[in-house]
Amino acid sequence: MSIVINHLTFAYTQGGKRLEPTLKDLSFTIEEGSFLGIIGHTGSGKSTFAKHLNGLLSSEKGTVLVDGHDVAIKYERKIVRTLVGMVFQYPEYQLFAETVFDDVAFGPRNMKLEENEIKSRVTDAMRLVGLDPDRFSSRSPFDLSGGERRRAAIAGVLAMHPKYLVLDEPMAGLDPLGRSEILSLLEKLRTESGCTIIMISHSMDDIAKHATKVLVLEQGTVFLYDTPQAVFSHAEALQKIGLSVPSITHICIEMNRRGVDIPRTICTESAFMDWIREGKQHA
Amino acid sequence: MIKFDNVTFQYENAFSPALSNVSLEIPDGEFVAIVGHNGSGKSTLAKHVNGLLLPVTGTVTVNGLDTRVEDNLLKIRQNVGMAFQNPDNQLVTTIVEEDVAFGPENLGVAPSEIRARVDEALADVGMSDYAEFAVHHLSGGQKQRIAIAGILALKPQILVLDEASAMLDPSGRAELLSTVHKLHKQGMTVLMVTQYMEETTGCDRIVVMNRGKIVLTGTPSEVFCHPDLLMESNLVPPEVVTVRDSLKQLGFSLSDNVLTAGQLAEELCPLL
Repeated sequence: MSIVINHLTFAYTQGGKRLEPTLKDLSFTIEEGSFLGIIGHTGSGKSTFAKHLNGLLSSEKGTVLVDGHDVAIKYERKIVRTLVGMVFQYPEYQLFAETVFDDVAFGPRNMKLEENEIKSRVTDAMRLVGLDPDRFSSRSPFDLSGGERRRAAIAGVLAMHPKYLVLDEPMAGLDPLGRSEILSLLEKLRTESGCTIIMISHSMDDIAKHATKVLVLEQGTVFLYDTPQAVFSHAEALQKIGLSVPSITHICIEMNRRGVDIPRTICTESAFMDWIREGKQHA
Repeated sequence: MIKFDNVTFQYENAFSPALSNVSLEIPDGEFVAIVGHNGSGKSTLAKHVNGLLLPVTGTVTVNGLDTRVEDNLLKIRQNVGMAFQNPDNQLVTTIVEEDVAFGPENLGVAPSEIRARVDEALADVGMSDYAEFAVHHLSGGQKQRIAIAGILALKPQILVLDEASAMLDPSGRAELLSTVHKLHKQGMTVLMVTQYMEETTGCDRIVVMNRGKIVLTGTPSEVFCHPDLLMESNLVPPEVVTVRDSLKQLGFSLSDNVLTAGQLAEELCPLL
């Protein structure tokens, strides 16, 4: 199963007037089990696109099918929303309950699950994000640190057991440790539970390291859709549309400039070190 | 000169102090980056420089003026400009040049002088062409530059940036950083609080905070020689430094001054 986007075009309206389309004729497939990184300049349509994945926005032109369910059709959208979990920017601002437990349980309770099932889902989700249920369940979400609050908010989405998890800049505003905690959580979800991860991020280093596919949006169109290695080898094209490249790609570019023939497809530290070791063996 | 002398500060209802016994001197013209994890005390420290927060014990002086003396505050705030995280919270009018003029107008600066200051400030942040633009049409990076122009129009000697780049995209961050470097070259003292280690490689000095204390201070090349100490403070060095250290372990002799991709390539290529 997968998410299939077919000729998706979307325009916001203002005062009854249709504005210039934000998304223009997008067509591609997000494979189940993949880690898709979405990058693009501010205003390129990233967040607008993400909102189509669970039908928060839908368009009369083109379709988005999640495991075959059309997000634009009302009764199908209900199913889609059990499949696709959404984590918005600064999700901790949406915490509202008196205890962490109640906040994480909000989604499962809405799904009208048995109380036992709710309890086990909540504790599992809390453990998954690294919040010990014994220590945190009865605490107020507002007493937590920034990183803990973010993880509590994500736990609330995970407790709904989404098959596809969409995150809009989940690391924004977190310190380096908080960032790496979120990234390893996503990696764990993907490898252990087979959850498909769709992440919007400005951090090219993170995308290079974790994504299996990268979607580059530019003015509402697909600029590139490929593996990170292939995408970041187009450094000049990316820079032309105002995007940066991973640190490792920067190093490769600087080395190319100095006459060293290192391939531009190298974009992670481990690939870089492998190339260096191989060169050493030959020397 | 900014001087923190044994400063301790605790927020109301907090269990532990946000700053404990912090001493720090920042001479005129220095560019200092303050780094630390969420809750390390770095923003609390920044807010002491212009008296937004006052020490519980110890003193903070700016050019010899004590921030706890109320009569000094106006003078200190004229000298210390401060930029914050959210660009939308810092702009007060709808047109760019009106926003930049807001500060000097409030100080009663003569209109002809205001015009000159606004033009100069906009030129300094590279936004002259946008003088008559509506503020809400600008990108985040542009808004932050306008916020800084508004500060510059007050002619401060010291610029404090409290995670001013946190909400910007990579190109907005790059714009902001190059603007700050340019101002520093013109003689501005800069205190920049940030979580992005890559932003600190061009500074004169890095101050690492953890649990309200200064745990490490030095030039970028000195500070990034201590990845273990950074890890203890929940920080990680820039990716280039991590790669440099892995290369060193393989036997490549690279100097501690390697902090950017260009510097790494410069030293590494002849060794390959």
